[in-house]
Order: sequence, then C-alpha cells, then structure tokens
Amino acid sequence: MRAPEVIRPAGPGGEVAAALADLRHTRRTEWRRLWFRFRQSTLSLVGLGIVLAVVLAAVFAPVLAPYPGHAGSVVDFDRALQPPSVRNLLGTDDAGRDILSRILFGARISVTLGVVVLAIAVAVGVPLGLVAGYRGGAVGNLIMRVTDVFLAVPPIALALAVTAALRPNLTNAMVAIAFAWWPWYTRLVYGQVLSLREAPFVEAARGLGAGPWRIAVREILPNAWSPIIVKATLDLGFVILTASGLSFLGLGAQAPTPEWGTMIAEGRGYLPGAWWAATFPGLAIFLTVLGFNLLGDGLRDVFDVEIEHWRAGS
Amino acid sequence: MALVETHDLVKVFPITQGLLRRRVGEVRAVDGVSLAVPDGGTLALVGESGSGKTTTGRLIVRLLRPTAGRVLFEGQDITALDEAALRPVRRRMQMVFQNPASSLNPRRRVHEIVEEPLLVHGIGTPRERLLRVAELLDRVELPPRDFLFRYPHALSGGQRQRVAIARALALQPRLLVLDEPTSALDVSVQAKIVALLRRLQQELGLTYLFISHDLSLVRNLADVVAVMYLGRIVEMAPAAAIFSRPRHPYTRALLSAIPVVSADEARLLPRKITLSGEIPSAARVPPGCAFHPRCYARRGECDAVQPALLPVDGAAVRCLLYDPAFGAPGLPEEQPGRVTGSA
Amino acid sequence: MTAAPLLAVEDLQVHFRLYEGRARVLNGVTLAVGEGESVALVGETGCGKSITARAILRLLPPNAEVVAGRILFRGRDLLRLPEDALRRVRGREIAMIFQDPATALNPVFTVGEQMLDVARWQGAGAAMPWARRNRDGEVRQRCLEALRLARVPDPEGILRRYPVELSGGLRQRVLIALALLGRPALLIADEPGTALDVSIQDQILQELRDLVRGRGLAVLYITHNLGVARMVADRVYVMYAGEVAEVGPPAALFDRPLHPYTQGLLAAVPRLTGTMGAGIEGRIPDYRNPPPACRFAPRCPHRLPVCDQVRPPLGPVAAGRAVACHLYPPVAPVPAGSAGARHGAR
Repeated sequence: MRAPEVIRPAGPGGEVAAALADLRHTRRTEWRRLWFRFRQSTLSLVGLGIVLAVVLAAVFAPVLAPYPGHAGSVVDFDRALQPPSVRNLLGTDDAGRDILSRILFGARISVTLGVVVLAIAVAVGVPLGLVAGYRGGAVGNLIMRVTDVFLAVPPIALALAVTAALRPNLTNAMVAIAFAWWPWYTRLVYGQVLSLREAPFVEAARGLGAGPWRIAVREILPNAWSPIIVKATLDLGFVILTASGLSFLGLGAQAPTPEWGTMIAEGRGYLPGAWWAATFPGLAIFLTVLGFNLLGDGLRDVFDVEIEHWRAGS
Repeated sequence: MALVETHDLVKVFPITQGLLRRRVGEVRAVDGVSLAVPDGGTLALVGESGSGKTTTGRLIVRLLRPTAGRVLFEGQDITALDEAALRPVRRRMQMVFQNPASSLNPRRRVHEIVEEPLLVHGIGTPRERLLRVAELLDRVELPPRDFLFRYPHALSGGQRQRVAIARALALQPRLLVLDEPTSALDVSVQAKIVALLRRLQQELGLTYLFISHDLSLVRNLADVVAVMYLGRIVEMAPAAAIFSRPRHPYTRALLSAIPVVSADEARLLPRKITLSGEIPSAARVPPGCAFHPRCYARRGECDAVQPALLPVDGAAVRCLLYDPAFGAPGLPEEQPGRVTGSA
Repeated sequence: MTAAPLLAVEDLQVHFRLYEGRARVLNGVTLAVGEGESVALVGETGCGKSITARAILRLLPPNAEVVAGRILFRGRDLLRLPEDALRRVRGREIAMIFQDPATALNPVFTVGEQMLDVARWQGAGAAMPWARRNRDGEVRQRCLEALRLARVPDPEGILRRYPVELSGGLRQRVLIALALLGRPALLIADEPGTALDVSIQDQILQELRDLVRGRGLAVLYITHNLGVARMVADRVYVMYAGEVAEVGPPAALFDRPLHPYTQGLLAAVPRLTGTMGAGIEGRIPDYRNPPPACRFAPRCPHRLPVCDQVRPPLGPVAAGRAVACHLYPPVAPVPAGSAGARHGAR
C-alpha cells in the first residue's frame, strides 16, 4: 500500500483501539434495542416461548420423556388406550405407548425436518433468485419461468406427487417438501434484488470497481435478509404442517416413527372414545405452527421498523 | 491541461414496449456534450431535470457506457474499455452521490463502507485498512473513535455525506465527480461540507466535476460553469462571466428565477423572466433549438436550425442570436432602444 | 390596529414519547397569522416547523403529546375542539398544501375522482340525500373553478388524468386546487415547490402569491429556503430547536439579522456575490436532553453566562421585529398577555 500523505502513527491507532473497545458495548446496545422492540408485542413473546419450548423438547427429548423407549418399537398392549393419568400424563395409544414421550420425540423429528427442509430451500432458492435478479437477461428469464412453473402447483400437491413417486419415508418426504418450497425464496429474493439493484449504494459499489458477485453478495444480500428470515420462520410452521399432512396420509414417516401426523393417523380411528390418542398430537402441531407464526410476525414487525428507519433516511 | 475531456458525448436510452421489447422511441439524455475539466480546478454542470447533467457525470466515470463520442481521462481514451480494463482507472476517479442516506449500504458499518474500495482493489491487510479508514475519517472531520463502527442510520445527513466523501478518497483519486452532494442537506450543513470540499481540493490537489441545480452554490465553488438543457450544453464560461454577463436566454431565465436572500443579490439578477410551459420530456426534444418553444427571444429560424456551440468573448454559447450566419444580433434586452419581446 | 389575528399559536409545547425517552421538541412556540397575511415559518431540519404546522391541524403522530399551549383560530382553541368540529375546520377553514406532489396524490385514482371525493365530502351534511345527485354537477363546477384558480391548463382534461401522467408542476397545482376547494381562510403550504425545478418553483410560487393576495387568503408557508421566504412572505419567523428565535419582515430580517442563529444561517447561504460562510459549529440539540435555558447557547459565538440560566423571552426590539436573545433587552416593557407586543404582529 502506498504511504498515505500524512503519517500519524500514534493518532489513528489509538483511536481505532478505543473504537474497538466501544464496539462491544455498542453491539450489545443494538441487540438490546431489538429485543426491547420485540418485547413490545405480547403475542410475539408467546410465539417465542412456544418455539423455545418445542426446540427444547426436541433437544432434550431423551431426558424429558418419561418412557423414552416408547418412541421406538417398545409396546405394551396391556396399557393400550389408557386415558391421561398420573402414570401417562397424556394417555397411551393403541400400542400402549406413552403419548407424551412420543410427542416429545416427535418434536425432534418435526424440528429437524423443518430446519433441514428450509435450509435446502434457502440454499437453493436464494442464490437462484440472486442470479436471476442481478444478472437478468436470458438466464434470469429462464430461472424465473422455471420458478413460475413450480409456483403454479400448490406445494402440498407437489410434495404429494413426489413422495408418491418415491418410496414413502421421512427422508423422501423431506426431499419432496424442499423440492416444493425453494421457488418461493427465489421469487422473494428476485423481487428484493430488482428493487435494490438500482439503489445508489449499489451504484457506488460499481463505481469502486466491484464485480457483480461481490455486489450481489456483499451489498444486496445483506439488505434482503430480513424478509427471508421472516419468511423462513413462518415457513417452519407450515413445513411441519405439510410433513405431518404427508405422514397422516401415509406418505411420510411410517409407523412406528412417532411423527405427529402419523400419530394422528393411528389414533384417528379411536375418536371420540379414546380422544387423547389423536387430539394431543394434533394440539402439538397446532401449537407449533402457531408459535412459529407468532414469532415470524413479531420478527417482521421488528424488521419493518428497521427498514423504515433507513428508507426514511432518518 | 485538462484532466477529463469529453468529445461529442452521446447517451441514448431506448424506450421499449411490449413483450418482445420493441423499440418505440428513444431518450437522448446526453446529446453531443464536449467539455474539459481543468486539472486541479472545478467545473460545474448546471441544469434542471432532464438536462442530462447527472447522466454526463455517470458517463465520465463510466458507470454508463456512451452511445457515441469519447471520454478521455488523463489523456487515455476510456470510452470503450471493458470492466477489467477500467478497474485501474476507477481508482483515480470517484463519485459522490446526491442522497447520503441511500448511497451508503444501510447494513454496513462506517468502517466497512469506507474500507470497501481498499478491499475491492486488494490493498493492505485488515489492520492496515482499519488504520487507513481511521485516517480518512479524520480527514473528513469525523473523529474515528466515535464513528468507525456506527451504522448509517445513526448519522446525520452531513455526517453521512462526509463518510461518502471519505470512501471516495480512499483510493486517492485525482477526480471527484460530485452529483448534487449537498442538495439533501440543510443550508448550514451544506456550508460546512462545501468548506470541507474546498479544503480537500487544496490539500490533495483534487479536480472536481460538480453537478448541481443550485446556481448560487455553484457561484461559490466553480471555476468554469456549463449550463445544460435537454442533453446539450447551451452555455459554458468562467464562473464570474456566466453570472455577470449571461448570454443564453435560458441562462438568463434560470438566473432570474433564483430566490435570493438579499437586495444586493437581487440587483445582480437579470430582470425576471418567466418561461412559458414546462421542460419537455427528453424523449420528445423539440426540433431545431431544443429551447425554442419556451424562449422569449425566439426568432423564425429557431425551430428549424440547431445552433452550434460557438465561442463568444471567452465563453461558448449555443444560440442563433450569436451565430454570425444569422447576423449575431445578441439578446434583445441588450439591444439599444429595442423593446423586449415576450415569449 | 391589532385586530385579533386569524391564527394565533400560543406557547405551544409538544413532546414525543420515544424508546429512548421523552423528546421535548416544541418548547413554547408562539406565532400569529393575521387575515390575508402571508407568514413564513423558516428553519432547518429538525427545528420543529413541520411539527408546528401539523399541530395546527392536529395531524400529529400517535406518540406525540401536546403538553401545553393553545392554538386559537378565529377565537376557538383548536386543541380543545372535539373531533367532529375539528374535521369541519380541516380542509374548509384551514387547508394544507402538502409537500411532495408525487406522493400526496393517490396514484390509483384519477385527479377528478380525488377532487370530487373531497369536494363532495366537504359538502356532506349540507345537502339532503335526494338532492345529492343535483349537487354532483355543482360539485364538479367547484372543482373546475379551483383548478382554474390554480392555473391548471385544460381543467376538464386534467380531471380525467391520473397523477402519474402529470408533470411535477401540474401535480403541485392540483394540490393547490385541492386546498382551495373548501374555500379556506388559511392555507398552510408545507415546503411548496421543494421537489420541483427552480424555474417551475418560481412560476408556481409567484402564481400562488398573486392568487393569495387577490383573494385575501392568509398563508402560513413552511420552508427551509430563505430565498423563498423572502419572495412570498410579509413576515418571517425563524425557528431553532423548537423555539422561535426571531421574527420580522423578510427584507429587514435577512439584511440585518439579530439572533446569532439567524446570522449564522444567513452567513452560510451561498450568495451570488460569491461569498459563502462556513456554517454554524455544532449540531442541533438532543431533544431528550436539551440545553436548560437558551437552546442555541452551546453553539453561540456570543454566549453569555445568563444564556445557560435563563431562557430568553421573545421580546420586541423594533417595529415589527422581535428576538429571543439576551443580547437584546426588549425595547419597551412587555405587558403580560399582550399578543401584539409578543410577536410583533401588525
């Protein structure tokens, strides 16, 4: 690097060190402010609570479940279809397995499934959207038309078709749902990139000599993350719902996997008598989807304010 | 010696319609602009919307590719260079944009924004870059300690513009193209930024291409002023001359419309001229002289003949009133005993 | 001579509730607009001029709180009016010309739809439902008349067009016409012409000035452009940090500013004579923690110890001029509650 015009060795160095020390504090304040804004909405906090509960259940299922074995192939027909009691807080199913334990392990499946599916959808969808939006032209057109085709089919139908074609199991269900889900991210990112492409700070980057990849990833993408994060959070709930739906139809997780949808399918026949067998897994799905929805909404509210801040130039 | 020269620069934007992108018209945003920016000096490009001044600025720093004409920088023809060949050139010419709020990436902290040019060109280690950024911030009067790690939304308009200037200076350019750098700022902040720009020009020997619609501001900054209308330069002269003796009718009208603050200044203005109509769209430039439909000194030939930019007494004017081929009568208000016509 | 002014803002204090605390923005703003008078409220970003204008029509955001003061319009305190009475004032007695013509008009409706809607609504309650169909013709005439007043060429054609089809200047004229629909006595023009080119802005301001004078309308101009204020106003209020710093007729005020802030501001304006000052040191105060007395003191080159202890009152110093600064003891004792003496109204 060419020597700068004026060399002040002590000055900038000392300032930089001091600024770095301040930075840690500043970062903490910024997080705290986000948290404060998030806290304003009770519903968002409820959502966060539910999501945390589900994640904890998933992580600590082996420890929390009173009958961990029941999540596998252990059966106990003597205890089949027992109503909720002190011994089985949520009752037992038709194979005598503790429903609570199975639900906890089901959380593990659902959360893993949700995260994996969305990771794939984002990893595939976002770069495609970036390329389509920034490069444009024939390539962009091609990508978006393919995306359009996928978007024309309802995701559940698409996932159904794919699983039906492959052997029905959980892994294939995950692949199928990811297959159906990526186009939404492409479309979302495409729109974001189009609007950001002409922004002055992007032009400034071009003026510096930055190449298109650098601009797409370092300038545009960080500004597009908010809607992606919000959508991913909301989607987690819906992906879980879709997976449960597939399992319910017998096309996803197979017995004896304690997936919530499968459990509902198994317990459905015993309604309304042994209502607990189908109802509690159903409630688990409902609460989980609700939780992610509320959390996603809360995140969106927080991010919206941020976006308004910089858009208004304030 | 001119640091930057343009020769008959043209930029045409096609207007397309329909699925197959049929070309239905064109916008001649810049239509034959030739200018030279003196090394170490300031040339101001002045005009209203549709004048092409912003586009000219972008053409000069090659953010746009000219449709025709040439751009010379440091003697080198950069008109048709591709991005790879342009990279080393970009280090010596930088642009400062109009709206400081949107010319800084809102998701990046100040130090990342200012070090970006160094990163792009692979200069220095992270530590060296950070030190250099601190120096630059110091130079634009922003104490590094307080500003290194802030986000743009935590800065005022003036501070943001200083960051933009610091970023532009990172690669030690020779030319700065400033596109309305103070339009979005308050008067008192504008004064400080202008003082900063003056100081930097002296300290670093910078050359400025200053784009603005504010004639009073330009009066205080520029050595040479070029007035543009619908893609063409209609008058170009040393700053003092343009203000003391404006020659083109549009220049006079523009000057007379300035809302001045004092009686002294009001005395310096030409008599109030109210232009009829509005600025036509650049997609439908009037034939002949682009300004003729609104011109108060219009003559019969003005709608048929396109005037050339001719030298007049140390200035250059594009108007048939100064063309010897038409008798070069000059402006009506400068004729002895002549009653001024109305538009 | 002092007849009661058409609009009198008295000691208006407005606070904002923020995450970080309470921002005490307006700190006792006092101004007046007489019948047929053109008054400019001038100041830089963040001085509170827009907030003052919005407070008059009670268009403040939800986290704003009017802590004290009165806004008297034709003798009634607008701050204490019930909502329905206020709605009758808005648009009909006081009308606002908004700042940005590009966004103040709804892009999905034609100009005619928007104007007719407003005109009809303003007449609501004045006509029986069965008479309403007849009124449409009358309402349309009113819109056309307003457009003609605003010098809109081809008013009938404009009614059919969408805002996006119009140039900036035309849109601004439509906004003016909209404001004139209710035949208000007072117009509030928020940064008129800022978004327009200089030549168009000049044209429109001149026409507005002539229109206003011709019909005896009172206007409150909000602007940051001193030149515009000089062009259109009979009297100028200079605001700084939520307070009125100085009042006076524009020519006298700009040629001989008294308040140090006004002096600094004028020095910073680029002049055609080629002189341009270096701006004012410092920044506007943090409204959450403003200076205890004079809010300009931290930046003032003439700061005195008293400036940090006692807030300077806005006192008259000459005919028609008033300053809020300790450098200028008032010329005559200020009788308590005397509206004329307080803000130099004619």
